Formats: sequence, C-alpha cells, structure tokens
Amino acid sequence: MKTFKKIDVFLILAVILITVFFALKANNREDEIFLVKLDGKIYTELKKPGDYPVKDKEGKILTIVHYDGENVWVTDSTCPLKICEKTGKIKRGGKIICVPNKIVIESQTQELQTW
Amino acid sequence: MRSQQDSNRVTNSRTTNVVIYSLLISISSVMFVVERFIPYPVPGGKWGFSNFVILYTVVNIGLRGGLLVGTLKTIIGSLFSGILFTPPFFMGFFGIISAATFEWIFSKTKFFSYTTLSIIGMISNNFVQVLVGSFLIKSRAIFSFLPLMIGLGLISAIINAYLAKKMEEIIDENNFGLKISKKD
Repeated sequence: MKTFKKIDVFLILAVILITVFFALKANNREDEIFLVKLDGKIYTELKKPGDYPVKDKEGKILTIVHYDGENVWVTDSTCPLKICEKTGKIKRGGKIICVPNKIVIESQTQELQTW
Repeated sequence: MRSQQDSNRVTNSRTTNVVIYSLLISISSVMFVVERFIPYPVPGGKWGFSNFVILYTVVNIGLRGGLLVGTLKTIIGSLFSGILFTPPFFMGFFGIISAATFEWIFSKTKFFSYTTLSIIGMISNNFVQVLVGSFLIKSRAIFSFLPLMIGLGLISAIINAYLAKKMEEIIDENNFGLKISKKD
C-alpha cells in the first residue's frame, strides 16, 4: 500500500476547509452571560464578579469558579488531571469543560424577557 | 520446490502470534505513555502518535489484530499513566475501536492510501471521543472542540501514515524470521 496518492491532497484540503469554516463560525458577542452547568442542568449564572463554588448534592465543593467581569477561570478543582484549571481564562464564546465532575462553563445568549 | 527463505520461516504457530502481538502492543503502549510529554495546544488533548501501530496492524494483519492491539494498548498505557477507568480512558477506548473498524473497512477496497486511511481513522476517533464525552457530561458543549481537534489531528494523521509505512518497510525487510499471518 502506498503512503500518499494524488486524491489525498483533495481530502486534506477538504478537511482544512471544513475546519476553518467551523472555526470562523464561532463569534463573540457582548450580550452573553456565563452559565455553569452541572450534570447537564444549569447550576448558576455568573452575573457579578466574584468566586462561585460549585457543590454537589452532598455539599462537597467540586470546583471554584472565578469571574472578574471579563474573563472566567477555574481556580481550584478536585478532578485528577486538572484540565479545567489548565484551560486558563476564557472570554465570551469560550468553554471550560470538566469531564470527571460533569461541569460545563459556557456563555449563552441572554433570553429576552417579554413580560 | 521451496526456496531457502521459506524453509527458514517459523511456522505460524501460537508462539509466533504471541511474539508479534506483544511487539506491536509494547511499541504502541510505550508511545501512548511518552506522547503525553509532547506539548499540545489544547489542554487534556494528545497528539495520538501511538495510533500508527493500529494503522499498520489493521492493514497488514486484519480487524481482529487491530482491535486486540488497540484495546490492550489503551488498557496498558492507561495503567502506566494512571488514568485507567477514568473518563479520558473510556473516550480513548471507544475512539480507538471505531478508528480500527473504519480503517479496516476502507482498507478492504484497495483504493485508498495510508494517508487517507489515517485521516479517516482520525476523524472517526475524534468524533466518537467527543460523542462519548458528551454522554458523560450530558451536554453538547464539548462538540465545539471538534473542529480544533480535527484540524490538529490532520498533522498527526499525516505523520502516522508516514510512520506506518516506515514500520511496514522495516518489518518486511528483516522479517525476524517470522511471517505475519493475514487473517480477518
């Protein structure tokens, strides 16, 4: 079997184009608020700057989320690999995902209140 | 009349298979542990260079061999790096099973090259990893990492194709007195 064929150039170009298309699609908007989701449900909304501890049902602290009005980052976590801490600061449009604790921190467009 | 080389070959016994598979599994699980120390821009991600052994095995031995090497590589490599039965382990485990299956299906057509198979395996691996991750955290947010993972995986897929071809050349040149059995 050969290492490389001419058809591979088209495949590589197609993959690059699709990647660039989806990468450019993600845009940052100012009217978004940060949400902390635990196990798929909304745990808290980050509106004011400060520290937000995320606790499980038994009251044990899983993660401490810090918000300074502009960026969000995780200061402490109980997960073994500390991937959420290494993700660093995220702006609106970014995401922090902690798989062992099932925590997702993402920004979402604010729902219009029409009443 | 049999040639000199053929008469020197060891018959393809159970021992031969044990030697071949242990060689492949040890190479890939060492790569699995070592590649964690190669810098990667996404936190928690890996380049995935250990998958060139799976590519070689699937093309040259068959699906059963590829699944065996893939599963044992993930289990042994996770045991050494301390992530056995954690969420990243399950993501990698199901990812490598899907990658081996897709690479085997497309290798049967004799139309694709190593690079194509490597890219197909990389895309299916990343997609299944993200799918398993989204089931674990019950959120679709993790899918936003997929374009970045596929874009960076393209680099390692091309390197893996080169490494698999190199491995095939080396094993064919001095085939250790062994004949790798082709069975599915």
